[in-house]
Amino acid sequence: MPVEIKKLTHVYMPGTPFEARALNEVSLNIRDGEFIGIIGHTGSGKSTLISHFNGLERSQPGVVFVNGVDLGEKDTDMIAVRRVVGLVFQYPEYQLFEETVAKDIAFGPRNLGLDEAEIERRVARAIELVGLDASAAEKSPFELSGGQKRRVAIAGVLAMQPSILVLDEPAAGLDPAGRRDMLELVKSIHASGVTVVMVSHSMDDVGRLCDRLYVLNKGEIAFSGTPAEVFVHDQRLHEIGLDVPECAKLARKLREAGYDMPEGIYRMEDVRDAILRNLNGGK
Amino acid sequence: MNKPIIEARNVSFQYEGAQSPAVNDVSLSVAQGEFVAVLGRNGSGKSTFAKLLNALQLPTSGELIVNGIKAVTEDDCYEVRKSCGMVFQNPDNQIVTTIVEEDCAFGLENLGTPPEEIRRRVDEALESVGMSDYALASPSMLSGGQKQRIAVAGVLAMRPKIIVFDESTAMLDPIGRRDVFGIARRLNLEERITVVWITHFMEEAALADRVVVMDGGKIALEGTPREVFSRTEQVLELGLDVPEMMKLSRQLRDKGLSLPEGLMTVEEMAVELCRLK
Repeated sequence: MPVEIKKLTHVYMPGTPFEARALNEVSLNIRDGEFIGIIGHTGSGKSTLISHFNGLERSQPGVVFVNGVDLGEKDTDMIAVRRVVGLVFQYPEYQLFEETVAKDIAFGPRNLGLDEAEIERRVARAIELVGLDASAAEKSPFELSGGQKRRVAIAGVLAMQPSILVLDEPAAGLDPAGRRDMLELVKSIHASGVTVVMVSHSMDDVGRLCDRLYVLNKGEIAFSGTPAEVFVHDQRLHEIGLDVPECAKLARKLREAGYDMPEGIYRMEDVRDAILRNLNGGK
Repeated sequence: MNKPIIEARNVSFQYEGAQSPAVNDVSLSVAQGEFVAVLGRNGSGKSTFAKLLNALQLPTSGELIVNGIKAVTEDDCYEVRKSCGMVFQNPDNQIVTTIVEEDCAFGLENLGTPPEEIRRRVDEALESVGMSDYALASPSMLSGGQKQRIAVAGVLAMRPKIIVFDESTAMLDPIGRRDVFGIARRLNLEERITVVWITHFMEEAALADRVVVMDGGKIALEGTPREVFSRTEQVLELGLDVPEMMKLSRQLRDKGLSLPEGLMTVEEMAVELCRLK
């Protein structure tokens, strides 16, 4: 089990007037090769949760396990854990700092103490993986567009060759075409065998891409399951500040108007076919 | 149509040292009380155009008249900014004080408004965005959506005729987005404040009176949301998207359903489909 979390509670600034319970008894399991979506409104605990995945925040022993290693144990080799779990923060392009794209991507691998040939190989591979042109390697990252900068930042994490990649809103702030490209990139990273965890506000995106979803509300898991299992709870999702895909909203309205629409239906093709079945008398 | 409150005639703007103009020969007229959505891929010139409206930048060529003022001198710029407020993308970049109501009062204090008047306007502005209960809170304890509402209140306290929202919902969660968009729409309908709404969210643009699509610094497409989004191929080529319902209705039409063109919202779609049943 790549990630296993058992009743994780996280309190910020305990014992002060600002004490805040960010997570309350959160349990989850992520299996090898899964594509997991984590959704929740601002302040629901998403970022705190993913910070536990690679030990940026530490818990008590016996709570957070990555590939069977207990991240709460004092003598756990955290550097080894961070090689396994790559974390891409929100707006990661703000973390770029080097003179050239290649140097920026090489920063992580170099800190691993790899030899130059291996570093070069990894940088080239990461550039290719994120779909940047090889000629970008010697450019300054600051000459690139926003979407390209973000790709460089993701390449820097991929160059560490993590087996689990956690992305916090990878498409935030991009234009629609940039958004489509970015999600295609995440999909291709997942297809290459990496376990992916994606934090998102977009139900359309997680519905389209993820195998399973965890919905956080006020530091607790409100729902989990396949997108269809989660989207059945559209009213409750709305109450906790979330949404369902547009097609799921339409399906509900049609159901209320007497259409026979399966519960939890949300994909455009499925909604389209269900509508046609209704109108063509089941043909 | 009401008289124009924004009148751009062949406006261009080029950043110093840039190879080509960021805004290139744009002519646009916005009527008093209109809600105009501006779309366009990253780097299409949307934000630069917004800065011209607010006199943060002055056109390199062409003529731009905002609320009857053509900004030339520094004093003109201040006058333009009084009538045209701006809400930016990142709420953390536009909040300057440590108490919500002080933040809202910041602009008025700088204008030398009398204290009683400031009090009245700040209270009204916070009430208008539903944040009165947070008047004495620290902005750092608020969510992104709440911070954006504070930013809107700070602009409202200046009693602007126009508010430019430059991707003000980009960093918010769904409920924050709904709130901030809803406030902008209400201020437009009830207070007749002209709104220029820059966004990457097609569902928001679908609810505007008019949509302007920019590309390479020029206006590439313009019309009602229905007119613009009906040109699906062109919209996609411009790096944008069309609302989900538009895609679905096209697929259904391809399968032989007689649906009208230009369905954009879930509500419209549901009404039409119920008619067919």
